Amino acid sequence: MQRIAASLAIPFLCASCVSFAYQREIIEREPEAALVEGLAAGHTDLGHVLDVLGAPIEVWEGADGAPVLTYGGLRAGRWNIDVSLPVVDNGSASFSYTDTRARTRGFVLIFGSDLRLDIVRAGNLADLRRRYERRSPASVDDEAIPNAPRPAQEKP
Amino acid sequence: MRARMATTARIGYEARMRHLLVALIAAAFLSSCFISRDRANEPLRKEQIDSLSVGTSTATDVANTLGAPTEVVQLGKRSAWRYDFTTKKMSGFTLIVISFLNTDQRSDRCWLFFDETNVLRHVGSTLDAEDTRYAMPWQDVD
Repeated sequence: MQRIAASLAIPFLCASCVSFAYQREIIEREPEAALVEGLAAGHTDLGHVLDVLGAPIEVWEGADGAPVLTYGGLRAGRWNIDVSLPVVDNGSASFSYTDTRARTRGFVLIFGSDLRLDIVRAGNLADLRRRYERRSPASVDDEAIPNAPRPAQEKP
Repeated sequence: MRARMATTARIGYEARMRHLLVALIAAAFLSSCFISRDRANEPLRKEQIDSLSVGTSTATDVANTLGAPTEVVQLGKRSAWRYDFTTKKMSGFTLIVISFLNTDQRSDRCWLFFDETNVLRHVGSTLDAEDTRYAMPWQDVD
């Protein structure tokens, strides 16, 4: 009896410095691959894609102002372990280990300027976006350009 | 006499330990369960979306019907407007040092595509926000 009580009491004593959590995340719904495979590059137009797959989760501007549509979702479980230990009077050391087993996956559909489907790619959406998103011109710091005109200085 | 007193003391000690054990188990199981819900924007109404006509409705008509969009994306001379309503439901419980959490987030989304003259050309809508569920991590959710 004593042993059972002691083993139950230990977790109570550790609760403030160690915690485990299992979290499942469901975010949106990834379209069925069969529906996407049924879309024919070069023939399917934007209207048909919207009819079949519904509203994308993202739209961005591709080459020549053509739309790029993103469909995807996340369904993943992961364990988190948090440990926090007091090491000095006014502080504590803590670390966290997260085992993320899944990231958002889905499809990127790239259209031509005639709004017909050009390319379909499947995979991790963050990677696909990095690969296909049109880059906006980077802002340039005037100070970095030697002969750039300087704003007029106010005289006191 | 002495033996009887020792037996009585042992029985009393075991009773106290049993009460302590019951209290610890009750505390462990009743420590915390929770549910929460977050919502962003207003629900989209299908009849409002259906009232828009591809080829005739203009951006002004859309704004008058659905209000201000959440996002406007410029597509060269064309544009696309996004309307959405998102629901997130969280549920879980904690057993002393271990927690089980479930997050379910779905949305109603509508994208409207306009041509160079701001006439509506394409509409795509998905109304999934109602499918959001409170569940435990091991429960099946569509």
